[in-house]
Amino acid sequence: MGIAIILLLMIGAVAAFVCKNDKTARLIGLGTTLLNAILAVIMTVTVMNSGPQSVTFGSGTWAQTINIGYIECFMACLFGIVGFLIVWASMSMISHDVEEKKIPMFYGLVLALLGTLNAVVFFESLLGVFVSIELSSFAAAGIVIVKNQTENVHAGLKYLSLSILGSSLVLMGMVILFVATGSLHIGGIAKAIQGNNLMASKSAYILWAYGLISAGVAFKAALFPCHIWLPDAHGTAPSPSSAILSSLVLKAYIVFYMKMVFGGVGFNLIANSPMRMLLNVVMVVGVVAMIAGSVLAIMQTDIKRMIAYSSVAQMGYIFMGIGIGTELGLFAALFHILSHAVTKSGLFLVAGSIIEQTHNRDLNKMGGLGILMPVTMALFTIGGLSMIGIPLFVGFNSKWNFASAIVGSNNYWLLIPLSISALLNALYYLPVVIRAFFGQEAKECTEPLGSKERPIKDLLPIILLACLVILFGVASGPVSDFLQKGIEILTAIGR
Amino acid sequence: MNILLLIPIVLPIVAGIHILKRNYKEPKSREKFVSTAVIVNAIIVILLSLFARGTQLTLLPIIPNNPIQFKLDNLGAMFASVVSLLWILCIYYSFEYMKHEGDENRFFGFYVMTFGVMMGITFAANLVTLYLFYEFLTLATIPLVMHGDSIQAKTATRIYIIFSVFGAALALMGIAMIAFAGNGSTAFAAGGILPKVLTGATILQVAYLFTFFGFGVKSAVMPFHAWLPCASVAPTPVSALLHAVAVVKAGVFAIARVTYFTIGPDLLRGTIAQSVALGACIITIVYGSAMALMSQHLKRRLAYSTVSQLSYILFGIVLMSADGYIGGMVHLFGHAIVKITLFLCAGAIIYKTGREYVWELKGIGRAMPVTMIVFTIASFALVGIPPLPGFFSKWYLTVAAFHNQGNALGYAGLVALAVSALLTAIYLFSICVNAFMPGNGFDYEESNKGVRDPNRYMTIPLTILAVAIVLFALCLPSLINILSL
Repeated sequence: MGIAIILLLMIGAVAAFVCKNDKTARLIGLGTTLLNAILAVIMTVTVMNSGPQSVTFGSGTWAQTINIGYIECFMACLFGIVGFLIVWASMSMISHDVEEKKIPMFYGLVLALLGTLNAVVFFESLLGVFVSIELSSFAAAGIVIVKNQTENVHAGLKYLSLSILGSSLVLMGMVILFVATGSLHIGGIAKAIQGNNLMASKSAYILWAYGLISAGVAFKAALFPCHIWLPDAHGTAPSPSSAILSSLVLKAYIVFYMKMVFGGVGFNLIANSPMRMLLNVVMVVGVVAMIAGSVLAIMQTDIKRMIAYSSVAQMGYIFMGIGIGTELGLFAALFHILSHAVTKSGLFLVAGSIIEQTHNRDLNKMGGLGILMPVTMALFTIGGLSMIGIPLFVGFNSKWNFASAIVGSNNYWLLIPLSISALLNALYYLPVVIRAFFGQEAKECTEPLGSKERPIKDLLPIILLACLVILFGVASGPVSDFLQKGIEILTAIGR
Repeated sequence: MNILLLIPIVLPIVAGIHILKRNYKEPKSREKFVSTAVIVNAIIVILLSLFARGTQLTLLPIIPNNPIQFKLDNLGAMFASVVSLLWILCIYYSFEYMKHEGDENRFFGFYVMTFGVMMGITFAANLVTLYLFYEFLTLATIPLVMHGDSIQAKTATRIYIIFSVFGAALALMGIAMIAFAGNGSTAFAAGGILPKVLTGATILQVAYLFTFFGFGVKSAVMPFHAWLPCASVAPTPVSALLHAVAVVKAGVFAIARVTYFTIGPDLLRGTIAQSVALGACIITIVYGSAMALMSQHLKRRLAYSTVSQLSYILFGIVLMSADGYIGGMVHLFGHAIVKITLFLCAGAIIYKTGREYVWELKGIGRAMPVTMIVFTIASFALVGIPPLPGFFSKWYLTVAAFHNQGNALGYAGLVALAVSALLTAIYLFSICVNAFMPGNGFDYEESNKGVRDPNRYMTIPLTILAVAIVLFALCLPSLINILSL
């Protein structure tokens, strides 16, 4: 099933590349992502009914395994459903940013990107993961560069180079792990580390390996201060690309990292070995990212750069959750992947709609926008409130999960930065909303209500994303149970 | 039957949205709609409070063990009824007052919406539901604080957002800790729901301080009080109802819920957390009164007075005894009626004369007799002259502080109460005395030419409130009876 998803997306990508017509390319993009979403859901149901599935090609050290457990299904559904909604939204938006001739290329790259992201998550063997990571980096940089303006060619190149730096760090880590454990397979590594007590005999190797992998992932997933490429790339890319980049691409690398850390080392060793130190560093850097990302976001005047810096802060949350290193911490981080994906993709698409309709990116000139584009700004409000962590929106559940994880691990001091971060989020999302609906400009606005609104059918995918924000906000139970099961399976590999 | 609990919450929110959308051009038709909505809602609240206590309604499970849940208990019902009655008076008053502020559709839209959010807070059956409405209270009141759109209003709004959101986040951390320490639930039950083994546990103490200072932001406890005096730039009905009754009391109410209904007073009595909270209250009591004395701007003076008075209530709550609880709650209701009256009088003066500073009020008692007599009655009540409300709350607080065995800070509280009573007398009576007796040779004609009492839209609510203040003592036995744990 997992292979079917990857193949489907790859075939779709090739088809989109070769077709000459932009209309056909759009159809291929939409159809393939829809099929992908359906396949992902079917796969999830299968796994829930008959347990994790695994396929192996070849044998020995170089055998490649695809392992579909709960976490993989969760990510596949996320890539499938959110990816489909973004591609749907891009139907009406993409011609604003990308020339007609480049549209087939855009959809080809998007599909290739989704395919490689799925592969990053599905592969159990490190070689396959690494190849997918590399391919996804190119595709991801591609959907930035496809806009073909000087600024985003620069941004794309910056992204590509730092991304390659990140992957090479990851590769070095993998090689050291291979030397230490003799396995290129997360399950094998787990057996070696947890079973043969390698943590005692070869702790230096393992720390170096995980240190390098952490550094590499920090670049790929934009953990502060390795985030420097993100605001440029996400800020200048076409809005649907920004949505995919921030809500999906970053997450694939994080899930890979979670699998390496928690699948490979396991909770027990994390709590009682030098790994704890490494994760403490990850946790503290995550906290710094959480605060610094938001402070930088407050300083922005460009709406897309502001949202991009907000992503830097949200990545900080996720790394903090990983760094806590307990089951609750991992759960909070995984849940936040979902929460950030549905919220941030919606925000980027809203920002794209605003820029498209008003030709203005400057936050200070967005007064009265709530009168011109009430539905769009209502969607922005939902996203913003979710980011702040207001109950009924999914961001609140994230905040609660992080708070529980912190309390559960006795790191009470982390509650203060978490509160400050909620405040900082409010400081850059609320003023936009207030200025749009209330301030002086809104009062003086003479144009009729909704005069610059996009047609509802174009806004529909964004509305659906907002519905997801509320749906997961009021009923997170099933997803939480699913993720908890996933964590059990993930960490059970080595036992 | 249970679903009826939703009506008082949903009805005002829907009505508020309708006002914003409909954008009434005719004041008369808006007034008709607003007053119908508010009065109907208040009647429903009071009927529910009388006949439906104990009903429970569970909605969406947003967090494991902590669904959105409503339950009408004695404290909630009492608070909801009083708030509803005050809401009617304030709406009536606002019809006249808001004529000089403008943009009435927005004002009444959010003012009515806040009513529903407030009912959500009083009906909440667990801390997560309470937190939900607490956050929405901040959001719904932001447009009210920045109503004037002046530079000060914008600054005040920014400060209000910073304090409120940060406070709510702190409180949420405390709630998460309480949920973690217990079995995950944060439901309310008199005397607390946590097991006795947790008595004095570090996690509970930390959790209490997080919730105390988190919710304490809304009730302006030091060092998180700064937003309240700033927010007095809002239109007077907002200062009166929200910044003397609804919003600030929501913070006090939440702290009472945490102390007596979730954690339980027995688990925290005598701990360091209690001392810290008591210390903060005591400092705030004196500081607020001193600042009120120093403020020459009338509404700011009243706002600082609120800062001080709110900490009286908190002081009672944090004493963690039955007496302290009663003292705090009596003051919660007494202060609500008294302070709203003082603010509405100040509003009447601003509305008729545009004067905002204390020194401009010389001799105004002869020009605006109704307003100033009501102001004087309310001043007597706040200072604590028997048989007016302030006297009883001070009585109970004193008894509670004196009986407080666990903590020597109770005695410090007594001193603070005495000092604050003195300061309160000075900062309020100086206004009354100057208004009626401006001194020899004062030229009434010249200084207050054309100044008159406002029309019945304002004087009727003021008179009703004055009567309520005087008759408060009659209701006191039943109030205490209902509120006893």
